[in-house]
Amino acid sequence: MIQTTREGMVASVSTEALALLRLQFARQHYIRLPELLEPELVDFLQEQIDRGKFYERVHEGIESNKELCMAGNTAFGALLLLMNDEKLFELIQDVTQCERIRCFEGRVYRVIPGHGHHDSWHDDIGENRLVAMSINLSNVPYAGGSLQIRERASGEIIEVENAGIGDAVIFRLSPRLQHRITDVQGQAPKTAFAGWFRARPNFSALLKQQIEPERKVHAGGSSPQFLPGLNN
Amino acid sequence: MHIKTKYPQLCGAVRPNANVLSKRLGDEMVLFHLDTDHFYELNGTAARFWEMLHAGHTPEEVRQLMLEEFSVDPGQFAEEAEALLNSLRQEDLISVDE
Repeated sequence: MIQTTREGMVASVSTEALALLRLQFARQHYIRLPELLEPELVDFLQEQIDRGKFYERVHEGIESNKELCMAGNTAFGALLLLMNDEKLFELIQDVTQCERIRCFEGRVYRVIPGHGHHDSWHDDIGENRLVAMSINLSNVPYAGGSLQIRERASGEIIEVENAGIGDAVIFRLSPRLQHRITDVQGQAPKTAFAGWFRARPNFSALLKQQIEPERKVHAGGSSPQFLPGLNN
Repeated sequence: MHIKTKYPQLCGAVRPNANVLSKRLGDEMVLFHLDTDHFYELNGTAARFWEMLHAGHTPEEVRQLMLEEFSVDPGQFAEEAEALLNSLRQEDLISVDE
């Protein structure tokens, strides 16, 4: 089991379970981590997401796509911090045999049926991305909106069954593969925290790039020599 | 001057704010305040200081443990720990009952 709580990551995966995850990823290009986010944490995040501001976003470099993306808020900050975890990085490296992970970069997106939100086949290759992850944060189960992975050469499509709330799907990025999210149908929207484990930069540098310019709060009147001050 | 007057926070009861998430990554500790949406970084020995506070040690216990763990002058440590605790309190990352 691997699960994130507000206190951090709890990881207890047997050798046999790890071997099975490695085999699954090698064969089908994805694995599922059920309840990667503990239910209590999911409730907290969903409350924050419901208060969030979403804006329409089109990703460059993908043929045709549109989604709602959540502006930075408490849920985004908490997810970013919690998913940048060395135990999780080590597990993903072990299961996927990717190179060393130094950060996870993600966004909270929402797709509402009937609002023209859609996705096209793409590979997400570039910017030192190693492996992708999507965590289901929808309030209720949704129809459609499932991940499909396609072998570029053969056109063979792997259908990934929708994850439960709080579950994560980890999937391979490769020039040989493409993926997309199918249209969401029915009434319920899909909300997810999705992004990539990256080889560079490290989390500290990612924060400086993404959040706000560094502001140093010194601990005292003179520069401390032993206990460095707090960086904000 | 009494040590309690000079270093009131170092002698007080310190509690990390329950609404602050923390994550160690290598030598750094990254904090995220759920009420203000601010991120903070603590490096090296300051990260260790936070880790010990978060584990439930009192500032006095942290002082003893860090003086055992690191080669640092006790007077310098007291000055800098007081200043760091002051910074942490100003940012509402801890509360201190003096």
